[in-house]
Amino acid sequence: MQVVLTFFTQTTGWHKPLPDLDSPQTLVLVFGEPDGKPYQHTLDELRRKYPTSVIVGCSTVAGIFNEKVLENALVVGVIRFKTSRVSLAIAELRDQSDSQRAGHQIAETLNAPDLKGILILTDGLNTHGTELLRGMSTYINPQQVNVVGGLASDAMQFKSTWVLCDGVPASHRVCGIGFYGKNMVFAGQAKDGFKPFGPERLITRADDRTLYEIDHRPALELYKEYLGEHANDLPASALHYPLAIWQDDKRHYAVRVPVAVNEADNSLSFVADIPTGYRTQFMYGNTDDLVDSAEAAARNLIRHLPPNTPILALTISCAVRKLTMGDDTDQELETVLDTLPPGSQQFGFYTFGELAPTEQGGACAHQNATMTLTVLYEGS
Amino acid sequence: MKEVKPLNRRLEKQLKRSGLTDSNLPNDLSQWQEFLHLVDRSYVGSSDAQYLLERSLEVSSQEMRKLYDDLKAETEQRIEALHKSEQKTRFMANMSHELRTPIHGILGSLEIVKGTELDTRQKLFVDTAYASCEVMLDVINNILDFSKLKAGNIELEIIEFSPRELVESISSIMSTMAQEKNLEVQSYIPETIPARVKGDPARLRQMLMNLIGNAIKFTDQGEVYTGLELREVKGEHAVLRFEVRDTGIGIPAAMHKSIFESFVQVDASINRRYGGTGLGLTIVREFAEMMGGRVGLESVIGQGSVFWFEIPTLIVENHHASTKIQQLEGCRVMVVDDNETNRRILENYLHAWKAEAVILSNGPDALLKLDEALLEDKPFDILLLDWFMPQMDGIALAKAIRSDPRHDHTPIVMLTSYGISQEKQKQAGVQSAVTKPVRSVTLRDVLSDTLRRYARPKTEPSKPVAVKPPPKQIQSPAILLAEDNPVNALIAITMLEKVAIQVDHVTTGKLALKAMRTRPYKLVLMDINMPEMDGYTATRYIRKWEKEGLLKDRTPVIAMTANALKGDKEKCLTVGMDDYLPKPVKQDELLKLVKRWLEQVEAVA
Repeated sequence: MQVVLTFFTQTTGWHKPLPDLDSPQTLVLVFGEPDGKPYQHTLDELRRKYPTSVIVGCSTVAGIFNEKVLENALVVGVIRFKTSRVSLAIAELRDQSDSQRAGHQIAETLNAPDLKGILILTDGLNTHGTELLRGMSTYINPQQVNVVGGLASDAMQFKSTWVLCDGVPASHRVCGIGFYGKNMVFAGQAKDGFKPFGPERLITRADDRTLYEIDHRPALELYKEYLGEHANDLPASALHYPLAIWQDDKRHYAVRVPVAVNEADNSLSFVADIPTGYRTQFMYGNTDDLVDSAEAAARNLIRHLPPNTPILALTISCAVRKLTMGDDTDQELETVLDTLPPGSQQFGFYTFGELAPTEQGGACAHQNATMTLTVLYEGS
Repeated sequence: MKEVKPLNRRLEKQLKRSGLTDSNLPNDLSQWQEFLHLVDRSYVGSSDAQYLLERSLEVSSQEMRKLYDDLKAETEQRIEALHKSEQKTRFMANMSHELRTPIHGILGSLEIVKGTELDTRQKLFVDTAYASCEVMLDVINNILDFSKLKAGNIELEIIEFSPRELVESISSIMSTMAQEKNLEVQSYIPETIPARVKGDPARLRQMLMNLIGNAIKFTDQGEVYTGLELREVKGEHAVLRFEVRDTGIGIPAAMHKSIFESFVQVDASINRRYGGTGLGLTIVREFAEMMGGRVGLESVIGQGSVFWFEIPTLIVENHHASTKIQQLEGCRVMVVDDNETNRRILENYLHAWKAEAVILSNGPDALLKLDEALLEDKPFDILLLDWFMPQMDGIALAKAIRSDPRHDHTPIVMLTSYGISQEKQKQAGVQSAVTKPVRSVTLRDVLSDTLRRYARPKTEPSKPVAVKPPPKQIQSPAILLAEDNPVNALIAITMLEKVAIQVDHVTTGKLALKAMRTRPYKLVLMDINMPEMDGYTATRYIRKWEKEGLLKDRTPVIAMTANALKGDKEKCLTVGMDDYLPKPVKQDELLKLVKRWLEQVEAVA
C-alpha cells in the first residue's frame, strides 16, 4: 500500500506534487473548503491525473493534515492498494426521510463476500444518520463489515455542504466507498471524552431533532438548572455540555450536542435525532478531556495491529470539538500522531456528525462530538 | 529545596508540550507562555468541572429531597387509609359481634326447643325459624368475611370433616327455605365420595349456602339441585366438585365473568326484585381461590344456571363403615317419581347399595309393573313413592296398591317435601316417610328399618334393635360459667345440664374470681366481654393465683366469645386460657369440648 498525503492552497499551490499512483486500486480522498468553486480547476486536475482511480471527498470546516488543522485548503490523500480493491457507490438524498432508502441502495451496491469495510461521506445537512445506517443494516453485518463515516460540514453556518460526485461538488448526495480483500484492514472507533454528570433520566418527549421533555420536565429548564451560571452563555456554552443518549445499554451511548435553545417552548435543538424513550444524561468536557479521548482512540486503534508498524489513520472529528478547543484543536491531532507508531500519518476532516461504533465490534451509530479514528491498513 | 516528586501526569505532559523539563527554566518566553496557557486551561477546566459537579449534586439532592417528601406524604396517606380501613374492619367485627350475640340466643334456644316433643306444625315452624337464622348468620358472615378479605387477613381453618354430611345438612336447611316457593330441592352425593377429608368445612358451607341461597332466590319454579362429585383422585389427594344447579332466570353470557365481582348483580332491577348484598359470589370465588380451587358457571337465560367450584382436599378416610348396606343388598325396590333428577339420584343410591331398583315415573305404570312382578314371581321387597306427582299422586297410588290384598305385605315409603302426618300415613297404608332432600344415610336407614319391621313374613324375624348404652356420664364435677348475657347463660346451662354437669353461674369476671376461691372447679367457661372485669383479666388473675398457691389446682379455662376476628383466639391463649369456643355455641361442640377437658383433668388427677 502506497500513501501520499498533500494539500493545495490558492496561495501556495501543492504542498507536495501529486504522485503517479493512478490505478483502479487507487483511492483519492479530498477534503476541502465549503465553497468548492475556486478549487474546481484543482479538482479537474485530480480527475486528469487519476482517470482510473476512485476519487471522492466532501466539504469541511477544516481539513486534517497530520497534526495540522487546515481551513483554507484542499487536503488530498492518494492511496494505492497492493492486493485490495475499492469500489464507489453514490446515492441521491432528496431529503432526510430519503436516508434509509439511500443507505439501502449504497449497501446493496457495495455488498460482496470479501467486503471488509465501508467509508461513508454524505451531505451534512440532509442526512438522517440513524436512518441511513438502518437502511444499510439489511446487507451489513457489523461483525464482518466495519462502517465508518462522516457528514460533510461548512463554516458553521449550516447552509451548504458538498460531496464529490464524478469530480464535481454536489449536495444531496451520499457516497459509499467499499474496501475489499482478505488483507484489507478497515476499522474505526469513536471516542468523545465527555463525562456524564447528574442522574440518568428518560426522554419523555422529543421530535426528530428537538428535545422537549426529560422525565416529563421541560428540557431547557432542567438543562439550565444543572448548568447554573454557565446557562447565562447559552446557546454558545451548550457545545461544552452535550447529552449522552442510549436505548438499552449505556455502553452503546451516542453523544448529542445542543446547537440551539428555544426559550419559547423550552426545548433544545440538535443536528442529529434524539428519540423519545431513550435514556439520557448530561455531560461536560474541557480541552484536556477531549485531548485525552483522542489519545484513547489512538491507543485502541493500534491494539489489534502489528507493533511498530507505521499506519495511515483517517481522522474524522466533530466540528464541535474544533469549536470547543479553538486554537488548541491541533493538540488532539498531535496527540494522535504521538500515540501512533513512529512514521504513521493521518488525514481527514471536521464533520457535522460521525458514523462509527463506540465499542470495538459494536454497531455503527450516528454520533456527535467524537473523534473517530479509522485505520487503513493492508497486511501481507 | 523541596524534593520534586514524580509530577502529575498532566503537568508532565504540559511541560513536554511546551518543550520544558522540570529542572530547567525556559530559554524562550513563548515556551513559558505556552506552558502557562496549558496549565491555566487545566485549572479552568477543573474548576468548571468542579462547579458543575457541585451544582449537579445540589440540584440532584434537592430533587431527591422533593422525591422523598412526595413519597413520605404518599406513604402517610396510605397509612392513614390503612388505618381507616382497619377501623372499618374493627367496626364490622364489632357489628358482627353485636348481631351474632342475639342470633346465638335464637339459634341456641331453637336447638333446645327442637330437642323437645313437638307436633308436625310446630316442628315445621321451628325448623323454618332455625333455617332463617342460619341464613341471617350467613349474610353476616359474608359481610364480615368480605371486609376481612379486603383487609387481607383471612385464614382458612383446615380440619377433618365429612363432605357428605356438609352437603346434606345444608340442603336440608335450604329445603326449609324453598318450601314457600314450592321448589324441588334435590341433592345427590355418590357413594364414592371419601368419608372424611381435610378442608375448611365452615367456609365450604358458607360457599354452598351462598350458591344455594342464590339459586332459590332466582328460581320461581322447578328445582334446585346440589351435587357433590369426585373429580379426581391421586393417592390421598382428591378434587371435590360442588355444584348447584337451578331452573331459574339465568345469567346473560356477557355477565358470566363480572358476576363474581363485588356488588355486581345482573342489573339494578334484580336488586330491587330479589334483594341481596351482591357479595356472595365474590366470597365464593375468593374462598375457592384461597383453597387452591376454582369456580365456574354455565347458564342460559330463562333456563337456569349451574354454579360450581372445585376444591382440592386430602382424604383422611375413604369408606363409610357400611353394615346397613347388606340389608338392602339384593332387595327389589320400586321407585316412583315424576322428577327425573330425583329418579336418577334414587337409582344411584340404590345401585350403590346393591339393591335391584326398578324406576318408574308415574302411578299407572307402577301398578302395571307390580302386577307383572307378581306374575313373574319376582315380587318387590319395598316401594318408594313420591307424594307430589301429577295426575295420580303418591297417596292415591298407595291407596290403589293397598286396595289389592296381594300387595298387603309390601311396605311403602313415602317421599315428601314437607312431611306427612302419622294419620295420613296410616290412612294411605304407608309405613314410613322420608323428607326431601333425601340424605343417603337417612334414606338407607329408613329403608333398612322399614324392611326389618314390615318385611313380608318369609324374611327372617328381625332381631331386636340393640339399644345403645347412654353415653357415659361425667362424674358430676362442677363447672363455673362466667357469662353476663342471661340468654346465653340460660342456653349454656341448659345444654350442660342435659348431660348432668353441675354448673355454677356468675355474671362478671370479679364474681368468677370470688367463686374460684370459695370452691374448686374442674373447668371454667369464660365469656370475654363482661362488665366490671372482662374474661381476659379474670383469667390472668386465676393463673396468677395458681402460681402463688392461692388456688390449689390448675383449672382449665375455655373462652366463649362471639369475637370472630382473627387473633382473638391467640389473645385468649396468650392470657392463659386453654381453649376457645366461638359463639354461637353449638350443643355438640360445647359438650365435646367440655368432655375432653374434663377427661384431661381426670387423667392428670
